[in-house]
Amino acid sequence: MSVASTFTVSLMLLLFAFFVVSDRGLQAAVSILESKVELAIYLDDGAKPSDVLALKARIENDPAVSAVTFVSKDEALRRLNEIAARGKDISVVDVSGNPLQNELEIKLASAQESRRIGASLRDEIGKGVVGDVVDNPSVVDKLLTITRVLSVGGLAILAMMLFVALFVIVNTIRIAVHARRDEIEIMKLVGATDWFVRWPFILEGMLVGTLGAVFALGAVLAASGPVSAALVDFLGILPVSLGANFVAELIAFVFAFALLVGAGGATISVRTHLAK
Amino acid sequence: MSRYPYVLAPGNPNRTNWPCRGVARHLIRSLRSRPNEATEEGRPLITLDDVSKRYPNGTYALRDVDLHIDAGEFVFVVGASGAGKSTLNRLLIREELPSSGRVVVDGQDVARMPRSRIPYLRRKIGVVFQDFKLLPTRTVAENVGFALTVTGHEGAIVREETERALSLVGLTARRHHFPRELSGGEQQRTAIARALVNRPRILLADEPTGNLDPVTMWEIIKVLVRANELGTTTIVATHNAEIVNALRRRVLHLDHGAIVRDEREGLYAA
Repeated sequence: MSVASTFTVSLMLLLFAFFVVSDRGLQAAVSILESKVELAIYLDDGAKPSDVLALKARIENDPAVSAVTFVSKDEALRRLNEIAARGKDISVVDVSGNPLQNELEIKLASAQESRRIGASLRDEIGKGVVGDVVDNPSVVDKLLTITRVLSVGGLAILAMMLFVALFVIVNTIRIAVHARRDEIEIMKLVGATDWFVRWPFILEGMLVGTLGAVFALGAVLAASGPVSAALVDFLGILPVSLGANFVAELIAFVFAFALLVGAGGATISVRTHLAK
Repeated sequence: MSRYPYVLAPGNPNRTNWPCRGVARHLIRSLRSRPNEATEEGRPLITLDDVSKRYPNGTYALRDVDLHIDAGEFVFVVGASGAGKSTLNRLLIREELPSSGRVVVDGQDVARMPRSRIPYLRRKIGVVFQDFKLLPTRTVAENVGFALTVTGHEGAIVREETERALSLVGLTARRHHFPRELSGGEQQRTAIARALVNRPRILLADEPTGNLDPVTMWEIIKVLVRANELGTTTIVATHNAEIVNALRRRVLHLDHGAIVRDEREGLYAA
């Protein structure tokens, strides 16, 4: 009976831990991708260096921008040749001239602003400095949507799991309370306080929660090595790092959650018996 | 409502035999649990003031009951089943609330008492039932000591007071037995020892001899009378005419929830 509820609680906590880990991983992925989000401005060939510098300074003043770099057309060609040398399926065939343009590369501090900055820069096209603006707002938008859906969905799943865990604990403790109902009746008759009757059951609820947390964390930590390796193989990158800080935080989260659910569930189950 | 001044004074010396050891400890406990003893002579310990108890289905368990019981009294409550005897007990320990009127125990209006004070009210009232309500997995001594353990008393006091209560009911030799190894009378005496172990001011016995043969019945009555002689206000609800007629104590006759007779030195039937 208690074994079954302990395992149900540990399953719930496993999902909770999974939610915490994947939420952390997504946040890391988003911040990595956000730091990679760039806008590029191709400059008109005839643009005056002073105008280009003024534009660069203006963009740098925007708080959403983290860095602006000038890339000359020679530099751009050199990079292209480098990429061609590494990739077997690309080759630069005509090296007589340089078809590329000078450009400004803009790194953004926050991805949400890319659409606004892109739009304001597009207004400058044809005024003698900005030739074209290249950005990738759809990638950013999708990323932000996915993050939002996942965090809202994760919270919803978490709320459901909380409900299930509470239900399981309430029922477990209710059985324990029922088994000791004669004792509780006599305790109340001879003048035991409500807290005196309540605390052993709250401890029992917290014990079930703690055992569940131990099993869940054991499973998470045992699986984290192989799962990380598989992710690295599969994706080529692992945005999540299970650093010592994060592990400590995860353990604290899971235990706090387990103890709260255990104590809360027990309080609910004893309450009906104390109401008499 | 009678108001007793809160006087710190030693308890009634006839009531208990103070052991030489731990006198101060007992004195402190006694003062805590019985603050009004020094001034209570002739003042009501229990007052019911126009009390009615009506259940949701419309039947009255008690109707317009006015009642005073003084400290140290021995009272029989008689009447047919369903006359309201058990309801009276449940109102006194605040298992139920009156529908109207006031129930005052030891100067406190039990209906207006905050929930957190109910345990302290119940520590002043020992309760004995027809079906004993002993815990089958605990010995006699553990059953008796239970009342002290669960009210937060330390081991030495629990052992000392349990021995005192067991000797009061004559069960010292049986202290390590389990309830199933005892006769009905011994089980009921265990229950009485549990009710008396924390030195309550009031002892409520609801049909305490209902399940017992006549010889055993007198054992129980003797113990109840002894508890009363030691100062505990004793209220016994019973159907047993023989006991009531032999003892000639105060008799309250309940009929359909109303007190129809209240006699000093009364008989079972008018």
